[in-house]
Amino acid sequence: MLCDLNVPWPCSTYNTQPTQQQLEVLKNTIVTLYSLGYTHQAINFSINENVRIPVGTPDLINPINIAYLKSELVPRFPKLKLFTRLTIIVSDPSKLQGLAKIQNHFDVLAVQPVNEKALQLCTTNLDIDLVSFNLGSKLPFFLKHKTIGSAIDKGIKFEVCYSTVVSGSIGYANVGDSTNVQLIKKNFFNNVLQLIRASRSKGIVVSSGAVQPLQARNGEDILTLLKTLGLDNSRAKSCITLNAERALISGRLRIKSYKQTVIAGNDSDEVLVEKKDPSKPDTLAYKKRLGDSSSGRLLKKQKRSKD
Amino acid sequence: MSSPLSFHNQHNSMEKRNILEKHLLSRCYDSESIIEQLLDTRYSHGGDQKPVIVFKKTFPEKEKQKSILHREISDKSQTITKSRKHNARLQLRNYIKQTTSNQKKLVHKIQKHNRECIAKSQQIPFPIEAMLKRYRIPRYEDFNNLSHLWQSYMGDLLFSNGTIPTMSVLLPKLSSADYTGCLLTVTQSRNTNMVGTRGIVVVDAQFSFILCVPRSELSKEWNESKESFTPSEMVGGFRMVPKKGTLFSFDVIVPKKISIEEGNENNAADSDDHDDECVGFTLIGSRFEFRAVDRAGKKFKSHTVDDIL
Repeated sequence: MLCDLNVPWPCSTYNTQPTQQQLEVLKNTIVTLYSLGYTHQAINFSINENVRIPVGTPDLINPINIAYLKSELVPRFPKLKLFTRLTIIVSDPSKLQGLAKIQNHFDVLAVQPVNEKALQLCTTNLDIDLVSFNLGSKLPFFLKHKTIGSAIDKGIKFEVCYSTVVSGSIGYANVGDSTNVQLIKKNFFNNVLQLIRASRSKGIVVSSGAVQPLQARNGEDILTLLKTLGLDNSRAKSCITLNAERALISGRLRIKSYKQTVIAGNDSDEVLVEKKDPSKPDTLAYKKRLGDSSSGRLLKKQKRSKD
Repeated sequence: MSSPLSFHNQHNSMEKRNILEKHLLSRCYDSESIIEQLLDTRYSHGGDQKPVIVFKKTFPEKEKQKSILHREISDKSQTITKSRKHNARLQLRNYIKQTTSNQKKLVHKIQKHNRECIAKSQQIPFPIEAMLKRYRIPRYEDFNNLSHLWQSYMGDLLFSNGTIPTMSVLLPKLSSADYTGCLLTVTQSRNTNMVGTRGIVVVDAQFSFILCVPRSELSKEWNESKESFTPSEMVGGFRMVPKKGTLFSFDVIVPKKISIEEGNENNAADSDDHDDECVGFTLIGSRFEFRAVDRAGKKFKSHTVDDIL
């Protein structure tokens, strides 16, 4: 099972809606990734910390129209699982007090710290799944093993988006002239090497961040990329399979369970299945007949014998 | 006592001197006033000055119903000593050990029987029922009542106000609930042999659940339409399932009254057939490695998910 936790949503504010063309490109990207083997994909809504989140109206908190995307794509690609992700670009974590109110509306929560203090405070205080960096530009601070290691012990993963390095100078991404592209690539490799050193090659998630279908790469390409960066085969593989899946599961468990103790629902692969019907109270979605499941039939039998 | 004057002097100190009589009389009469009266008439001029005291036959007093908190611990045997506690735990452990070893013996016996059948190339059915009795292996049916009790406890705990609350209300309650008597099914486990095991929780230990599992066609989910079973499936009895790295699923039956009400609201067609409804939950064993007593007051925290499976 391959996971891609970063397929960017075309808009980055609450006020704008994506145009039909943008949605078309997004759908094409998802389909391309699916055909490359990524069954679990998260649509990423990225905002600045100063953006006001409409906490008062719960329906508007998640602007990603996941129901529309699912209705369009899932009938044709039944194995495709789509999730939503929120990335907040943080410079001052004290502004993020309202995170508890919005965390039930997104499957995966990520932050993108822009300075060292933000990274430190986000990993210690906030309940998040992913930390991503802007790897295209030179990181303004040194990644300490202590900070990164304690975050990984907590279960927070670090994200590497490869779209910056594959959106080359040919022109299908508007990243500027060729020297700029060279600089971005140089920064990318530098930063990833830093990250690998600080994390001791644990807890890294590789995702696409692909804005266009052409920026998607398959698993083999990513393995090659990571091997050139010095990871061994199994660690490189866990970057796109195991670690990504764990980040997704920890995010899903935040919604589906009470502090990772009891999960609602008991179907197979329950954690990664969306069952919510917004019109009803959520418990009714998990209600079923006793005769439907095997253990239910056993319970029914017992009840009969008692009556 | 012969002269009235001397008696009078005595009268002042009567309270002291009549202690013995009072004490004796207190065994015969309940109220203090009757005793006072008797003694008064005995030692006064106006009274009958009877030379005898009548002692009634007494019966042991009925113990008044007191709350267990106010009752004095009079008998030494009532205090549960540390050694007795230890013994109870030891006995339970011995019982479980004995039962599991008996199960093993019976499984070996069935295997031997099967080998002999193949050698003789004839089918003789193994007398399983008699053997279960002989080896004293606990039956799943014996724990049915425990399961019913647990279901009614869940009904009281979760659906007490007559409606189905949201998951955010239900789940915290479930995380601190008691699971003795719950029908658990192992859905995922690091130990793949455990997957599919199901049974009623007999002991909720710190690191494992001890389940009493059903036999033959009820033993596993996929065994319902099977013909032949493995020896251990035929025997049933107790299974120890470690909590670490295991996901358990269980169903809570929604009380009929509520489910019919809710059913009418949603779709009337469904409520026609009288099938019970249940709500499914999954329990993460790795986060449940506490004794039930400690879990009741515990504040849970999210951790890294690496150890869940």
